[in-house]
Amino acid sequence: MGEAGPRLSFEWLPDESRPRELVLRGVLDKVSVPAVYKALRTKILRGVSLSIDLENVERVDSAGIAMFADLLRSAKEKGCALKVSRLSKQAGHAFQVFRFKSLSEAVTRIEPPYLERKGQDLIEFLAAAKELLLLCADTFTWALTSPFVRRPYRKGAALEQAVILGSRASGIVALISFIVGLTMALLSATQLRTFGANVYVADMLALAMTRELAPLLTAILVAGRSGSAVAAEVATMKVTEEIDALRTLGLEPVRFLIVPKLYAITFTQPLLTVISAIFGILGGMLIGMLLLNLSPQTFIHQTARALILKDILSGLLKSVVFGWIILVVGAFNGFRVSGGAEGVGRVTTSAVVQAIFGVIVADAIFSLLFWYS
Amino acid sequence: MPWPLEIRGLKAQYGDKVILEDLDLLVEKGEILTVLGGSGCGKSTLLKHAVGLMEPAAGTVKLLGLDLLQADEGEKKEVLTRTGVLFQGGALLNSLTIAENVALPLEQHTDLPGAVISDVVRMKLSMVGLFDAAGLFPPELSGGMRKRAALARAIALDPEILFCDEPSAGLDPLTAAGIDRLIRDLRDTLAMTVVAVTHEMASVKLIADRVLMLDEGNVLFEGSLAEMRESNNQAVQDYLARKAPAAAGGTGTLLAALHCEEENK
Repeated sequence: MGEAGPRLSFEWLPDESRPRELVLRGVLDKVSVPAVYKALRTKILRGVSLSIDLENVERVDSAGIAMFADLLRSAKEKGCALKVSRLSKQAGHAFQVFRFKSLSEAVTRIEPPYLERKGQDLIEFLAAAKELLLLCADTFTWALTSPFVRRPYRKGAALEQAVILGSRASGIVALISFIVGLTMALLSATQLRTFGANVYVADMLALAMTRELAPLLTAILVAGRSGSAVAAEVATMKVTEEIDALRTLGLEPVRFLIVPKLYAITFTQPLLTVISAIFGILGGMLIGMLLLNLSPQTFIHQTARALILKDILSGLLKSVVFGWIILVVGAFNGFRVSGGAEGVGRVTTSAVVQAIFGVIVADAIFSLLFWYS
Repeated sequence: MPWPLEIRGLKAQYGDKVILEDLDLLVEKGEILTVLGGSGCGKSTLLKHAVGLMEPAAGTVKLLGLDLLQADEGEKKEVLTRTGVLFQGGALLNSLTIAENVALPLEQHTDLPGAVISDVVRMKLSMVGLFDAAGLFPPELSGGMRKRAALARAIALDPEILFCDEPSAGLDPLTAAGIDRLIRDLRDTLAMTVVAVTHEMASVKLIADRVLMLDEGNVLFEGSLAEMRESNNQAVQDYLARKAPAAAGGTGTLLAALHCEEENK
């Protein structure tokens, strides 16, 4: 005798003959199935053939039927028999209504073998890499040819995008850069004060901001707010068939959507970087004034002496390339979305992660290049 | 004169799964062809191939005499401006208002002055009964209104051929009938060719000159609605009578595998 909650009892008939007979009474549904399933499965795994009487069962639901499909699968693997000896009327109906199209659908496991899955992953990765390269090629070809084509995208789209990608980001870029500049100055102040070299805080900040930090900080912020936005926009448009609609309207999606953004980001990214550098240095100046006894005049003078044109230009060049990486990676992720709203969230996340990764790798490559030049 | 739509030996597949097999279809100028069939039978896939959104695995598709996948960009654009497509969910650009959506093809592909464009837009919106919704954004509209707005965009350039993916699905009977009548009127006035994918028999009765019925990638039936009623194909008759396909018998089912004695009673 066994109990699976108050609603179902099961009774093993005393007869020790094979198959063991079992009588179920009560309700066999999603609540009572777990306990019965466990009891029956234990027997089957020991290779015991079973015969089950469902005559006295009041109600069987789809979970109950599914339990039999699974038990039958286990029984086949163990080479023992599983029988239903008698059925109540309702149970008979349940077997008719909750049905698989065929027995093979009922008892096959669906999961490709490990190697097949890994191979599939590799193929998908290579296909994605190819798509990324194609998208880069498309974007830049169309960016170069669009000025010579009549109405490649909506009038004013590039300017509109410049506002979205650039001017709306300026506040947060300025604030974060100010704080980072302030922190850097604070950190180095402790060291430099020991040598009485307070004034070199300005040199350090000027160099670090223009050459490295401003482009990188700006890129990471823009990847977070605009790279994700681009990916989400394109992905949503793809999911709602807007991309297909554009194509059938004779408008090339990459040219219509991405090229205006590319023009915009090519201008806004260096501008944001300049803002970032200026505010970073201002942050340092505040620390200089408050803690290092440096007058603003001294600080600015020292900064101006430390600034080198080559550093500024290389920073700006980097920022443009970072902008392009963010945009193309965002667009790429948007275009490769699959599967509804959940897919949009997924590609948005990977757009940000990949863009930041791409920016940092590109930054390392630039550092090497500038080192040797 | 080329056929408005000429499909020969079309095979379509996603990965290994074949959706359409060796499909031939010629659509005459000015006719309304409805494509029928159960879900997943390849209706929408057929439509996507017709307008060049998908590349056939085999066979050729010519839209207004042009193979879109072989054509250069200029030719392709020219043919697409003579084609209208109404997508299942409308596929309006969410960042633009309804009026801007309808104006988009006019702005991008014609040299009409702005004032004329805005008049065309208001006319098309009025034709689909959305005159007052011009300034709204697509998410602010109901599903049925979005579909009507999308129809207005599809006919903005007075296309020679119009493709509709379920033009009246999910609409109330009156609105659906209105759209059906509009499609008929456009055909009568402009000799527009229409290819409409649909589930709605009511709509088929109203608009169809010819019916193409697909089943698991093959053409099950092709002909007029009257001929369809006369067809002695069981699947066609089941479809007309809304009858579920016969359920499989006891053999091969889970119950049979459990060797139930009930079977023998």
